[in-house]
Amino acid sequence: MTFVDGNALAGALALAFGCEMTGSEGVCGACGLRHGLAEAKVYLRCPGMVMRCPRCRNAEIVIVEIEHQLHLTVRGLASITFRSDTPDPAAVT
Amino acid sequence: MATPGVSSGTTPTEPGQAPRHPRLVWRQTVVAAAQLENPSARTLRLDVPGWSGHRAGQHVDVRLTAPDGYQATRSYSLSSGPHEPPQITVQRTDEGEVSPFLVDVVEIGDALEVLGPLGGYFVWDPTPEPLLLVGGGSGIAPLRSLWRAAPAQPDVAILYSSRAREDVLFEDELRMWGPSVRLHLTREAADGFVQGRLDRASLEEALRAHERQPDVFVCGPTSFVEAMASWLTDLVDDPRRIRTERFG
Repeated sequence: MTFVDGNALAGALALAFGCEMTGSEGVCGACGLRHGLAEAKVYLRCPGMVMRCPRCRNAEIVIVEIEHQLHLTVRGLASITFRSDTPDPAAVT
Repeated sequence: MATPGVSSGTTPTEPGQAPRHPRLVWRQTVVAAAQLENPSARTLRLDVPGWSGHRAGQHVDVRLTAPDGYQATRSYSLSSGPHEPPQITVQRTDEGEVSPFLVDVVEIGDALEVLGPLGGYFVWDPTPEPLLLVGGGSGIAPLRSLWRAAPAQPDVAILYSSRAREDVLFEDELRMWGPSVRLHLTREAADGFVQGRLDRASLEEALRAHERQPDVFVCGPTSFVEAMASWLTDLVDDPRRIRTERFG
């Protein structure tokens, strides 16, 4: 199964977290790698979406949409760092 | 507690004043125009209520709902410039569920649901820094929004790899950038095109043409992006200025 990257999760993560996430960073809970969420290995339509650490492939976030509810399991991320000045996804600079 | 970047929806505003940041929601949109770019790709211009522009490199999610309620969502890059009416350029993929519909079936006036604009990493806000754009196949689509964002940008190089002549997108516009554009074909030869894949030497040559390290944007199939990014990381001083987007 080929993978894409965290850019593909921009919509789901923005709906879930309420702000643009692809510019944020996470720390893998398995190997400790700090990486941009956009650089994760993402597997779509697994069914559901799985975001994996780019180094150790640990499943960091799993997203499933069932009847208009987004279920996120953020089981494999030790931390997420948000920029506090993250612009609204719909804002234009 | 205020959440950065989110409109609460209940933020007090002056009478008649629109909320400062619209909430990110699925919006019903209409296909305003449709143009076949080549036998397998079509540009759809979208009429999106409340659209207030986007950042170069961003994309939208498009959701289709079948009569039985089945939904399919896919991401498509905006190939329009930040201040132009939003448009997506869709490449038909053979086993695709959504792309054949968008390329072959959808008509002007049809409704689509759109979420966006999306993206905060693979984005470019015009700067005076040199720019290197590296595209494979339909990966050229978001790169078009970058060159549309700064048509007078003095120091832009574009490397674009396609399989065959009929797969090439936006050729006329690309040619306008002159000698700083290298168009490659991997499966056939044609005048005006470099025959063969983009390789490390191509990247080296493009980087050497700039006085200083450019901001680099790479987009295309995953295998293409992985190869380009690996070489670029070796070749540049600051790999953080390489941004990538993999289409799968």
